[in-house]
Amino acid sequence: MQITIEYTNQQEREQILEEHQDKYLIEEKNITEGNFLVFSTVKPIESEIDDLKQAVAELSIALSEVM
Amino acid sequence: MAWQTPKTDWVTNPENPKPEDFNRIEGNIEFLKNDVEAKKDLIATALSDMNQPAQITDTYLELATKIRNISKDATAAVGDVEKGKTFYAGGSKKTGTLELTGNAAVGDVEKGKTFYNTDLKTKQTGTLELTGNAVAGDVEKNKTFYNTNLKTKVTGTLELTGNAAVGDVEKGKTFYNTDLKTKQTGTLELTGNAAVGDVLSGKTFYNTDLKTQRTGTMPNKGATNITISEFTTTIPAGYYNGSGKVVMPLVAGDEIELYRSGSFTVHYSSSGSNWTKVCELTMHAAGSVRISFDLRGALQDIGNYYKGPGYGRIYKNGSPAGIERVVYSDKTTRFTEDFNVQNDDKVQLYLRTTTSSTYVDAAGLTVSIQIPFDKTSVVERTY
Repeated sequence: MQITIEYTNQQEREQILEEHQDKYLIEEKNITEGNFLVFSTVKPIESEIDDLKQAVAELSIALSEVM
Repeated sequence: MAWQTPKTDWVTNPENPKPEDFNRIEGNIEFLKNDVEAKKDLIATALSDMNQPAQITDTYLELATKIRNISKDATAAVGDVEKGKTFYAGGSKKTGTLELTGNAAVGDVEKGKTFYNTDLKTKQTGTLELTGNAVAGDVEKNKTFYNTNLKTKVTGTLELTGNAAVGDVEKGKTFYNTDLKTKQTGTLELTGNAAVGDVLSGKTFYNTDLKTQRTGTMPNKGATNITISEFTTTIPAGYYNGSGKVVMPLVAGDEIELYRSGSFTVHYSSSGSNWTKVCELTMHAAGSVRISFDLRGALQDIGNYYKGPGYGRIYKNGSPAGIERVVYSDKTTRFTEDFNVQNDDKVQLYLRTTTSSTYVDAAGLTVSIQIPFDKTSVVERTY
């Protein structure tokens, strides 16, 4: 599910980000219609892949340090 | 009266004849007369039997002439009598010259039929038998032959009436069309270059191989209408019959994408922490444009895992114009911002990373315009 939240200043933006740390910020719009933050409750697949890559990389480093 | 021994010593033993001497002499004379007449009758009868009529009253000269004429009515000539054999004809003895010189063997003569080849006295029996099984339809029209009967000539009726020309038969394959003795070679060759993707789905065709029927795979879109949702809407592959329409909804607020890029990367190793231009777009019209891009936090050069913040920003004519964007995690975030541009303005995307041994990347840079009106609110038929 995606949630779009409008903000009007930087303070509001920081507050919204703080309040929705459990979600994934997938887009920020600063357009004629206003300023918006778009959150997703589902982890994007790209992030899943990157997590896996990072895990593999960290494992490789750990192994190289042990051996 | 029988024959009595005559007395033949009248000189050395003279005596006076007695009556019995005269009776013996008269008796022997009568005996001789009867004997001669009986034998002459036999000769005359024999001559009559030999087709030379004779009587006992004939003189001995006449009888001798008739004897010599016995063979004069024979009709055989020397050529009629076997070579080396003798016969009488024309009043003389002759030797036959008839000789058989045939060279037929029993296998040359019809089975059951008899013949002589070189020996007049040896009759041979032929064994020649026809066992052919060809019928008239098996033999070329008007050609004659014998199958099982030596005396029955059969006329063939086999006729080729093919109408194929060399161009009708596969190249290199041979055939006969109307002449049983003229073999022809086909020249038909398929040189089509259509692939299955060039032919409508479900339709069959041949391209280069006469024996391989292929089925097209091109989707038949028929009169499908296509609605444009972006500036570069992709048309699905397939066949369109020309009746479909391309529709642009033009509803106020819709965006039309004018440009979309690939991906960009800036490495700390080559750019340090400096803002680095990765893309530049020249505007050819003035107005408001909406620019978006995806930004991902800085990743380590080796290992591809998160290492630090990644920065991105839209510049205009070499100066910062958009909000400085930063992504602190390995997440990808899309940033969208509106800009007013003038003709020939250069809109640029800059990236940077502040962490050593990392790189930052961006993708999906798009430039769009917004439709300010519904199409029906601009033009409407009223008459």
